[in-house]
Amino acid sequence: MAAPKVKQDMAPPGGYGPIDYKRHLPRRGLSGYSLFALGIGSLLLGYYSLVKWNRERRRLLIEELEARIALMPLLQAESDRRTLRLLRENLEEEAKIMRDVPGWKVGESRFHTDRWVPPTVEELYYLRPPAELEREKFGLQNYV
Amino acid sequence: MPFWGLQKQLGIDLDTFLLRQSMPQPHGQAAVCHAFEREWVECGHGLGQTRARRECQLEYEDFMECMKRTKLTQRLRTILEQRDRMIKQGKYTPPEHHMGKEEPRP
Repeated sequence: MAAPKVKQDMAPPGGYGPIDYKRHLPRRGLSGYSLFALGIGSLLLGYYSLVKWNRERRRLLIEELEARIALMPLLQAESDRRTLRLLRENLEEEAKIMRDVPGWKVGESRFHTDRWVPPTVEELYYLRPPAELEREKFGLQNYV
Repeated sequence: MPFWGLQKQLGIDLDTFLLRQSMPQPHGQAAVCHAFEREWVECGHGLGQTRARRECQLEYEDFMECMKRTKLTQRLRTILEQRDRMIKQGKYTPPEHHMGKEEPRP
């Protein structure tokens, strides 16, 4: 049936203009291959510099070890003198402390042998405050 | 495996350092009681453990003393107790270098 002309909401005459629906990715930056090349190149450069520096560190370490070897007699002699001094002081104190105790032989060795037995840390520091013994035992762990 | 002697057959020496303290240790680090153990083993060579403990009593006692230090701790404890007793009785004052006020020297 012939409907009468109704006013409808129509597009403007000639239709709408073109609509922008395609994506616009910018064409910029390096290509994929060159990015790979850059990454791998920086890796190789890093490896190379690491290897060079580690070899240099090893040379420095060897130098420090040689210095330690060269100084070892001096340090050992100092340490030995110190040990002997501490043992002597302990012996004298022991003589003073145990003078009233019957049947006590001052400075008697616990061993049946005549050999020099290196003294333990406890033996050297037992009369001193415990902080000194602790420092002797564990001081190097906190050394900066 | 006790009768194969695998390490001797192969000519390698992997774990003999575990057998005794006197065997060659890794990094060449000698044990503390190396000498005592060696003396005891040399004294008791070929005797077997029971006889070696009985007949090499002196070396064995020295070795055990080196390992456990029982006599040392007993002795130090006696001395320290006596020292505390004497301090309480007022007969003894520890010298300065035993009170932590020593001037620093090597």
